[in-house]
Amino acid sequence: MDNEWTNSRRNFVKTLILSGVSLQLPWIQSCSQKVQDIPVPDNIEPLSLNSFLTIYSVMDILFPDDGNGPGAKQLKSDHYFLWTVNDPNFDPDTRSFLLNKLEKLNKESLRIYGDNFHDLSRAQQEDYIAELSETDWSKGWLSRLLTLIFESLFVDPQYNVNPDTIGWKWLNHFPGYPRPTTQQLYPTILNKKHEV
Amino acid sequence: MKYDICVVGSGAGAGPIIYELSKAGHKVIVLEKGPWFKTEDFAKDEMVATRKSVYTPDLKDEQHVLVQKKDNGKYYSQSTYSSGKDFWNGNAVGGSSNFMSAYFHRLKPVDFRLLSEYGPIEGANQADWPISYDDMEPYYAKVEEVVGVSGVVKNHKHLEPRSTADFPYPPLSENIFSRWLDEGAEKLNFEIFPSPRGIISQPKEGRNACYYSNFCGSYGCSSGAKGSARAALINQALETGNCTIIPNAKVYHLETDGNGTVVKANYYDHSGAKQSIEAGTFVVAAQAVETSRLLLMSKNPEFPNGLGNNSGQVGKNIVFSGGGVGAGQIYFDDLTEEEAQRLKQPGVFINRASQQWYEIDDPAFGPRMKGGTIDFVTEHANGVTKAVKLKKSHGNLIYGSELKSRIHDYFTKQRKLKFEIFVDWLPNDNCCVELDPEITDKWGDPVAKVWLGHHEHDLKVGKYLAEKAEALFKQLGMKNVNSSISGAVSSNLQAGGCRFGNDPKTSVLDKNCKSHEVNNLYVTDGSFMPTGGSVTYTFTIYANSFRVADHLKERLK
Repeated sequence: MDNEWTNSRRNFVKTLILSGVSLQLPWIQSCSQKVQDIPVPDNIEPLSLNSFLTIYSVMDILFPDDGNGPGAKQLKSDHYFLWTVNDPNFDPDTRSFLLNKLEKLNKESLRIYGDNFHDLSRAQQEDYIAELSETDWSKGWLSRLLTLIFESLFVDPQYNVNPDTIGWKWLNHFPGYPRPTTQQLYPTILNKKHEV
Repeated sequence: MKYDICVVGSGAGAGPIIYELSKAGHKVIVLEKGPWFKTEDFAKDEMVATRKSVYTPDLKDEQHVLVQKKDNGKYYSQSTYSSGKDFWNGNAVGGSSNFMSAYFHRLKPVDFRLLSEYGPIEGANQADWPISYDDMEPYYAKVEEVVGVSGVVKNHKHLEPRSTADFPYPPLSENIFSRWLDEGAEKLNFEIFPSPRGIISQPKEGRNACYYSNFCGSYGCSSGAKGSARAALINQALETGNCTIIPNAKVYHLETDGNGTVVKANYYDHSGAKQSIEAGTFVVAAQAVETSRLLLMSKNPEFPNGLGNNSGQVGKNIVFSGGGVGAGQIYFDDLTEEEAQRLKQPGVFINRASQQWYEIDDPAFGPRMKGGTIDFVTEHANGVTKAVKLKKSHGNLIYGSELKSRIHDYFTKQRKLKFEIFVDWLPNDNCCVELDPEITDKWGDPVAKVWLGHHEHDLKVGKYLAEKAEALFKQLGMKNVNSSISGAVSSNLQAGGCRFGNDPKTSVLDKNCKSHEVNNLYVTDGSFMPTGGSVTYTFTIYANSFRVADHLKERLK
């Protein structure tokens, strides 16, 4: 599965180069190692690759893989972000908030550091997030991302997060029973809500 | 077809009417705004129960406008869509009773005569009830039997008079903390007793006993043990063949014939199409805020201010539950291994309460006055909810390894135990329901504008009780003991707006909860309550609805 993904992602990077995304070329060269390390899902709509890599990197700072339990990347919080913004029932204003601030962070990173956020060194990323956590336009956004990470930490693995209940095991969290069946999961349960 | 009874809503105020009238052979139609979830639809999924609007409307479709007093003393309004603070409680067959925690304390005799017992308070609109505790007592006993209440009666200073010796169902299993509370209370001469719960501990008529899922409040019950109107009453009513439920039916107008009689309930069906139901008697039980909203929306030339509102009293004197919460922590390092394991045991309940200060007679504090209830509870098991509280410290965002350590310590090294304070929410002119002049719901109807003004007296009493509870927690050696008493509203604890009384000029309903002005309109949710007492409302709403059901059965003979 990992090999399939790697090939798929390499092909994607190749396509970017061949399709003449000229401005991206320096970025691809400078971050090639980083890109290799980040598993990009096949479908990252509505994000650009750049935005996806940024959200992945921001979440990794917010909830790092530091040896004390799973980090955002083990919890698949990036997948959860994508699932959330693609949920047709998700509040459109909150969706715009999440996406617009992500775009703004990318622009600000370029303006301040001359580089995409995910291309910055880890120390630069940490410094920048520390600054953003005290900045009016961004602290609410970071707080919202943390809530999404918490959801990927605590909800049922059937939502394709919290794999193998790593979040529950880390915190000795008792989830309650019965666990949901596929028919009881969101958003399938909404069919019941609209049943006549 | 013309039905005998049309019931708007299907929660605690509606359930007994549906149950009793169906069993008596009357044709009952129920118009429920929400969907119809059955017991088998409920799992323990934090995503569904609390992270998404599955049991409540989407706020962009249906919102409230809340008017709150700020620190500068002025009132400001904001829609819940704008603030993100949901004011709904559970729209589904069975209403919010599906999602209650089911602490079932009775009111006391003094609660029925608050004004005459304790005298007026400036700025508050207390009123005595037109009935007494003795009128209600048989119906409390009936709820205990029919809906199912578990517990054990223990005598205490303010134990209300009972016609039965004990609860029909034995007490639910308890956490070791309950025993520690008992021991600490004894040392402080602090009077506590086992809390009765509207949750059955033994099977009953198709409902299974509680299996201690650890996720009770805010969650639908997967065994039917929780005494929701759906599980305990409506399912029984359906078996009679006399009851029809229409889910996803939003009633927007009650139509009269020009002679003070309601003839039709007009509603939007699941597709948004307008439909209507004809019936001989109409019972509204849509929860206090929405009930007032529906009556205010049901204007016509006969009732230009809203149905049954020629007195101008509809929507006035809404009450919530005054008080607040407190907490303390126990660290596992301070316990033996066995004690820690028992404290960690998920699912079992604390089920302890104190009503030692249900009336405060303390010259150092002031003249004799009404007090309230202290309920001792566990922190809710919702993981996300707990983690969200840990991401900020003194207003600063915490993240990274510091946040992870904080979360890990919180979940693995301690347990937080809580107390909840319930005192009267004094009715006042700044707590009411109107129709918002600008914001509409997805059907184009005005949403409820809810004024949430509280009386400062409520805070004074709440703080008195919180100090007592804090003292008990400290006696137990708990850490970080604190409390917060405020005028903040719990939207699931709402009553008033159509208070009952003997004077049509100052009340909306008569003592049988029939509109003074409308021949065949009854209101049986918490709207009828002129004052709310110092306990949660559901038990009393159930009991009163059984009382009105008896009246209706007589009237329809």
